Amino acid sequence: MIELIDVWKSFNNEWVLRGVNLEITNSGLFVIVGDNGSGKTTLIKLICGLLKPSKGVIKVFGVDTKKNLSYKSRIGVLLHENILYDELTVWENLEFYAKLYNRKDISDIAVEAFESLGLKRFKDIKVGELSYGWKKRANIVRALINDPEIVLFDEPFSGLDSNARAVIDDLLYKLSKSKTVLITSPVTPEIGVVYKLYDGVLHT
Amino acid sequence: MTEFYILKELILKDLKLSIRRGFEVLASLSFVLISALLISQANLYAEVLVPALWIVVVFIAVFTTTTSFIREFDSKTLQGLLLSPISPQIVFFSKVLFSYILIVLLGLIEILFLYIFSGCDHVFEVIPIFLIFSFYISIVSAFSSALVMYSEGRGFLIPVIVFVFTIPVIPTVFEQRIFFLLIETAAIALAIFSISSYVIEI
Repeated sequence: MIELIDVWKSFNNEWVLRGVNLEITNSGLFVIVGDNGSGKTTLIKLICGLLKPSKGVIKVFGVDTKKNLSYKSRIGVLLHENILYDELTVWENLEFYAKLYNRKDISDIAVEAFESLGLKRFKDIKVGELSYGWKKRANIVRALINDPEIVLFDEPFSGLDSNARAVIDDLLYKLSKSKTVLITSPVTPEIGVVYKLYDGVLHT
Repeated sequence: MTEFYILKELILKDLKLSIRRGFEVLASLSFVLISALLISQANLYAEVLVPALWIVVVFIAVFTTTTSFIREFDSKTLQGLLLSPISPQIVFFSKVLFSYILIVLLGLIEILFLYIFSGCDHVFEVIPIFLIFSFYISIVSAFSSALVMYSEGRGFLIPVIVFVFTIPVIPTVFEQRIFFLLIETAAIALAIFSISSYVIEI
């Protein structure tokens, strides 16, 4: 499903990732653990196609991400940043992104996450009026609107209160039963297959 | 068909965002009103009044660059669009069409105000060439916005790039040679659309 072959990435002549190899072929929860600045976000952005590797090949569903965009309709991505429009309401944002995935409605799993994360009462509130934590929850739902087969979450727990963490924990566990869930975290989690990233090298 | 549907949704989203930023609508309408009033008050001849209109249109295009890719980049929402399974060319084309709608709307209001304030009905004769020139400058506006969105000095770069790309068609526009302007617009559209995806991708 996800294959990284000798992937290198540099910014301003400084190598952030050095020859990363990774192969995930089945569903489950996979966690990339690393300190701040270790390259976790870069790795997620490379897999989802927002960045291009300086060297190496990234394949998602067997497709080279440089050559084909079709895999994007089958992945769901949560980034650090809020990528929802501040001027639109939470629901308008979700509807808009669903249309970009050529869907009439948002997926059942996203509706379920929408309700369990307590976003129902903020449905008609503009995203710009929400706090960081609520924006993050709305972004999590956005990442699931297309019922993705691969879920890529960059530090899904950061900036959230304990209640939200517990809900997301449950959500990730549930998703990992049928999907490939790859998340990043600064701390080693209790569950999931852990990969450690330091000095730009991924250790299994 | 799917591309057309997505294109429509992207443009509708941009229009909705613009309307909800009420101060932007007010600022652009104020600019159009004041510029029409000032140009009319100068008692210019029709031969000068029309070129003054083209200058205003170029300034409107400079304004639309900030509502295009720069806004998406600053608010990080460009990443959301690039994560979606839509081609960067569709995103670029949506920005061109959105800029075109803005430029044509504001330009037509400018023409109307120029007529009201100056009484010169000669301004209506330029509408056909205005519609083509607006498309040309919409492409330039979207491209400039995409090109400089990563740059810190974009406040300076945008007007420079827009003016540099506009200079080649100024004689054609002034002489109102519609056919030649169509060819020049098609040429720049072809050139810019072919490289647009490389410019947009982060």
